[in-house]
Amino acid sequence: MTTPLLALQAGAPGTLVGSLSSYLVVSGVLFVLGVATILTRRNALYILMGTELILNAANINFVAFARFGGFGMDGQVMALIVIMLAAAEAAIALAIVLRIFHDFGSIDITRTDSLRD
Amino acid sequence: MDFMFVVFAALALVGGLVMAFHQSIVHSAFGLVASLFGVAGLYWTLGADFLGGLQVLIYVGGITVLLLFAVMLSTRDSTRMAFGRYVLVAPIIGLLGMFLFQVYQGVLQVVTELGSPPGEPEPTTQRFGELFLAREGYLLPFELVAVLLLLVLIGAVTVARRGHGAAGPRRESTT
Amino acid sequence: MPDPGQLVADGTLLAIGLGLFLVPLLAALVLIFFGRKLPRGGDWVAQTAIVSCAAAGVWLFGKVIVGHGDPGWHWWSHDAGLEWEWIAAGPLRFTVGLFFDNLSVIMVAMVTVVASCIFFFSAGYMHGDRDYPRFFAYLSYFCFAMMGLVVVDNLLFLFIFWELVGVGSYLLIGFFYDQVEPPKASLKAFMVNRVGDVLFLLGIILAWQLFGTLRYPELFERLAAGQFAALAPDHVLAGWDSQSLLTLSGILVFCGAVSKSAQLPLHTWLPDAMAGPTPVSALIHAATMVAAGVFMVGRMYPYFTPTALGVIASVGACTALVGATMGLVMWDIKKVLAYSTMSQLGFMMMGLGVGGYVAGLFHLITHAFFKACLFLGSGSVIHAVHSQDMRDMGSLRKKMPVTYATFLVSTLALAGVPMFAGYYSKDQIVANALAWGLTHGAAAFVPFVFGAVGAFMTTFYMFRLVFLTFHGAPADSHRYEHAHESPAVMALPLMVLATVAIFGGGTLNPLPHNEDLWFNRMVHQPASAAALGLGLASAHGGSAAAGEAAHGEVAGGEAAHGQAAHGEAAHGEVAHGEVAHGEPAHGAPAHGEPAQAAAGAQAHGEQAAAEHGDPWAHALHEAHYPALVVSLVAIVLGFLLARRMYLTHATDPAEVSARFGPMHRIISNKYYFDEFYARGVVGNLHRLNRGLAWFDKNLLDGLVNLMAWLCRGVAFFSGLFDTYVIDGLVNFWRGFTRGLASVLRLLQTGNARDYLTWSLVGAIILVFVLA
Repeated sequence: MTTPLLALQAGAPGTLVGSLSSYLVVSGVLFVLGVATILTRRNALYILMGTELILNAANINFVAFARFGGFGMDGQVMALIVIMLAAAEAAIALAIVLRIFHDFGSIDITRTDSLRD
Repeated sequence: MDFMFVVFAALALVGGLVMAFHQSIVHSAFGLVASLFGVAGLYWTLGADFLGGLQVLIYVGGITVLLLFAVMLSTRDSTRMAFGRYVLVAPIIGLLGMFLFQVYQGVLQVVTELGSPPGEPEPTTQRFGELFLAREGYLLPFELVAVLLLLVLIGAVTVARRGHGAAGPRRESTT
Repeated sequence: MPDPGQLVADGTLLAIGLGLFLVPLLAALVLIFFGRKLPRGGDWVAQTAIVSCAAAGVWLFGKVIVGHGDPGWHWWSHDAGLEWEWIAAGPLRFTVGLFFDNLSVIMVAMVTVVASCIFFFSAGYMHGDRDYPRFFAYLSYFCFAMMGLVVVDNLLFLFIFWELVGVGSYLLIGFFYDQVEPPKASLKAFMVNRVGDVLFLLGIILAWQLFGTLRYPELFERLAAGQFAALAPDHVLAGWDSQSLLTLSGILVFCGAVSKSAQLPLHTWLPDAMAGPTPVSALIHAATMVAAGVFMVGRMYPYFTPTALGVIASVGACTALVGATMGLVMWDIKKVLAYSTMSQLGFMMMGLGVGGYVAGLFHLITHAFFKACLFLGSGSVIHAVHSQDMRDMGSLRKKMPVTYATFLVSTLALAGVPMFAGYYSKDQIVANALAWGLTHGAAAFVPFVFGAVGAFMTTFYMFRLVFLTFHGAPADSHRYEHAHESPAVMALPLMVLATVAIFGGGTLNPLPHNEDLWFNRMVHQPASAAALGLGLASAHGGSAAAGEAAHGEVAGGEAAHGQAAHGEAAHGEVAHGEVAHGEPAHGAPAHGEPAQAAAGAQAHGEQAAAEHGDPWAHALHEAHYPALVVSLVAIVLGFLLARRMYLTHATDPAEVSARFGPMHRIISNKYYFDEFYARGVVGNLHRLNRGLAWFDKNLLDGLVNLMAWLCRGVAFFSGLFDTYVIDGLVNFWRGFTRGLASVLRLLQTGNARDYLTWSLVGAIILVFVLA
């Protein structure tokens, strides 16, 4: 299965830097978008989505450097582990969101302020 | 620039933008899906075939489905939710951008000095298997993550359960 | 020192010596603690104690005086190795032992016998008194102190017992403590004695500094050998020569006797002391305590330089006269006797001063007996008529025959009527005074004159007393009715004392030679300090002739010290000034003349004894009969005058006192001595005290208050500092913490987005830091 996908491989061997920096730019932008989402949205689910985006951006970094920085498989393994952890974290987060919904009647995080005086 | 790269990158970025700025949460969710697809594609262009596949399976297939279910279950009246007025965001994001830019610059320089040109892409699946089951590899993290997933499973069920949940019902505070 | 031989065993003398004062002390303690519980109040305890002392004293008297009869006998416990070390601190070493010689043996016998009589008399006199046991306790204590004074072997311990005797006097005078007069009188006695005692102590200290010892035998040895120690350069008297120092020391020591024996000017306490019970007056203020001063002068006789002796003689003579004058005008029977005692003590001192050592001391002994008898007799009278004022009495001889008889006998003895004991002693004194006048120039006759006038007055006032009390008509019939003779316990002691008053002379020969008198045989005059200059190491002892020769040495010694005599003259004037008398400094010119007379003779060494032994012995011999005649004339005149005024009433006493108006007033007021002391001395002392009190209160206390005020001020500022600075610091932190907290609290918005934001910011910062 993977062989045809490999055909999509970007960059000719030799054109190193530019390719890497493109990936880094992409991951950077994705990261910033993820942060923006977290900070600006009132819906708790947005926080989760933003977090996923951030994690993915980080993964791109890992894999890109693994490919272009000569780190072999380590980057990919790291990315895989991140994915697994992201899944776990998402499960918990959703459970929490459900709880919040149950307790506060809403998932608007501005409403979750029992601690406020 | 490579064509495939541009395609997938565009997908990821546009999806991200949609997710960040769209008013409807469902639209945002689908934007996220698209973005994740784009990221998967980017993995493929980087020669991480197995990883890309897993990305699609887990993220798109699992997480986003879960997310959409949650959206469905918890959004009551309107899916539209206004943005909160939040003054600090812009400066923070600006700072963040600058920071990242600086870091990347530095890293790039290091990498160009150290790095070796990428070799021929190889199928990575077998390699993953070898690494995750080798003692001198990543066996331990592998197993730990497995345990973690078990814990998470139990934990999520516990937290989300009605009645004997982690915390009792709380009265709504009037702001 | 002549070898004493073992006349009496060491152990015996030690036992007697210690017992004499320990037994009465024991009796006193028993009576103090258990007196009330004993039957009859315990008077038998005291009486047993004193009688046993008297027995010992009389036994010793019999053995030493009657049996042995050696004038040079003496015993010092130190020689037998028996003495007690009291203080030993480097150069300061004070021991105490016992010293007996003829004089002290006689003294002991006299004191114990008189005391025994008085103890028995007191049993009757004080009968029924609520403090009966306490009286005998005090009497016993007094005997302890008196005995101690007599038997010790050094000046320091004599002084200690001297003070103890003073305490006894204080306790006994103030016996009736709840009356008005006795406490005042006892305090006055103590205070006046204090003055003399301080000077006495100074004299003792000087003696110790000069000779390094205070024990009689050693002291006189060193004195005779001229072993003066040099005074330290920073001593206040450092520049003085030895003779002057010795004179000064002697005069200071004599001052102790001035107060104790009620000599002028420290006599004021004696009349007031009559506020005590009559037996006390008899024992203490007639026979024993006041005699202690004379005894001490006698003991220390070798210590006195001619100048000092001159001072003693003058003081004694004046006291004799002044005392007699005051006895003339008193109406209180005890006061008359008190002034009589003062006068007689003056006689004794005069006797000692003019060189009649033997005479003065003999008079001491005889006087004790008849004066005690007189006092007890007066006590008997007072007991009978319940009054002390002679104007309430009269014709008591019919009612109280025994008292009258003994009283009359004692009066005759006191007056010096031949064949009675007092005659022998008093006659000698007058003779010595006359001899002194003959050998020391015109001014030296004053003691003789005073003595003669005094004798006249003595006879007069005594017979005045007798006539007023026992003769004539009863002044108060009521009292007369109730008067009765005293019981046997009181009458017997009177008789015992009167007997001695008659036979105490030891002979009935009206014209005795000195050798006939037992006292003269037993007690010989020691060489005086004037023998120093001739380097003669003559000591206590020798025959009568040697004693008189030693007196010649006195004159020779004065001659040899031509320059020193000048110094003495100067000191004589100074000394007289100290005595505060208008008395002409007869000592000074007296010393000058023989110096001039003998300077030509250039007397030196042993030759002086031969050449100058004559004047004194000669003068004494010459003076003997004239003095006798003068005495007898004085007595007869006195008797006749008294008879005329108080028996036959040919002359009215009131008229006489009116004629001598101002003089009479002065004498009646005791020469205003008391007023002078009260205003002059005490008043100024009070003024000084007030000044010092003011100083203390305002300045010293002011200083203290100032300090306190300063402390308060400092404390106030410290408090301010504490409140504003320290507390300010604390409060600042409180405010700061609160402010910080209220700021930080704002982070806790409860808003999840805020938390997210802050965690992101924190993460960024962290990465910045770590990168």
